[in-house]
Amino acid sequence: MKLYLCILLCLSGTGLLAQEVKQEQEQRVVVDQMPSEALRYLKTLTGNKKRIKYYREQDGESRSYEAKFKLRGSKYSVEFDQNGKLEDIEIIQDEREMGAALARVTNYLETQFERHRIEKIQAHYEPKPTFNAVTPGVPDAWELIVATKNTENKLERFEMTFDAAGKYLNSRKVVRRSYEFLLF
Amino acid sequence: MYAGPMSSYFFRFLLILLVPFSFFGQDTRYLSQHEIALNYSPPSRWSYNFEITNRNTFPEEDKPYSVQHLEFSHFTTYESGFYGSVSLGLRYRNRDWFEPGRSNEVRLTQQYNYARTYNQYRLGHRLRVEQRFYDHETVYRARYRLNLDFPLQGLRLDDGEFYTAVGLETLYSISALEKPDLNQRLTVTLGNQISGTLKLQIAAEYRKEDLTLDQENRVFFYTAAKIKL
Repeated sequence: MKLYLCILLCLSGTGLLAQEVKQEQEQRVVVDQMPSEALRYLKTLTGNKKRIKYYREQDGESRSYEAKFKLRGSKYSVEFDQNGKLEDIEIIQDEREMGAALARVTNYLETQFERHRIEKIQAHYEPKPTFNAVTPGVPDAWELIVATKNTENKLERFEMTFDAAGKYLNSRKVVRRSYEFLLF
Repeated sequence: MYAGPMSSYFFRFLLILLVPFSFFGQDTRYLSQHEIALNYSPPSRWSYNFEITNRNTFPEEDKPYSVQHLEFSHFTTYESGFYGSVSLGLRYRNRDWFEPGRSNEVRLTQQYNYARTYNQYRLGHRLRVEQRFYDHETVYRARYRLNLDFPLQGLRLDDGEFYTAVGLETLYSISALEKPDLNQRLTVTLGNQISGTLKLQIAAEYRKEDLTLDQENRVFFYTAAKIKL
């Protein structure tokens, strides 16, 4: 048993070791660790916010904050910079909410990929003087997580941005979580 | 010493907590297994896995620490669909070196896996069919595993962070010489992503063996180094 205690101790030490290397890291924080301006902004969002959770993202020297909660059945994600200034608001939606934009998005995906599957749809809102969280209106952009497959390539996952009308703007590859370490 | 009502409740509560341990009776054997895995995933639908594993007994009153076997495995995997994969595996397990007379084993495995991510959680289904070739018999085994894994720090697994996995597997073996054998395994894994290429894992596995025959249990302690090439 001693051996396993040793291994456990060694493993826990690695958490400290890794902090010396520059890297991206996202972790849950408590409300007290959030910038006060961010908390002030969240208070201005009306409606009954449920299951609110806070996260801090560290990417080298730069830092940002995020609040996630549920409001009237939809999942909200509100991002702030390190001073607590609002960066954007994203709301998870389903295909129905996209209306006419969906046809244009689907058309784009069909021309670009042999096969695709939309895994997640987020309505993206830029900072505005007034934002009604309960009836947010037409978003500034649609952010989609799309799983794609070409005949040659492996499955690739992209985060794609389309404008409110469904016109393609840009995309970046999402790093896949490997599974082989749990498979065999 | 005066034993007040509080302590009496406490002991009753403790007794209930201890009930599951009664399963670990005299028929329980404790084993340890250590493995090094190399995983190679080129930019195509194919990926490859190589493993070296050894299994040991814990020292007992009448028996000192002993090695049970050493095994070499290989799996070739092909991605199928958005979330699935099929694999073919070959394993050679040598027992004769450590316990002369015990048959070695060559094992062929066919596998289908389906894993989907739901936010930070990932649920995986693994279905395996195995042919285990021994000197004097062949055992056919079917097994299904349900596995849940998630990062323990935040929503995403970054370098230096811990993750955990819980798996429940049911196995059914048939052979010409023995009665069918139904097994159940429960595994809890704790791992750390040391870097982009290395993960270290420890795990405890409880195996309820011979569900249809007599009662025997085994408890495994695993350590593993998973290296990405």
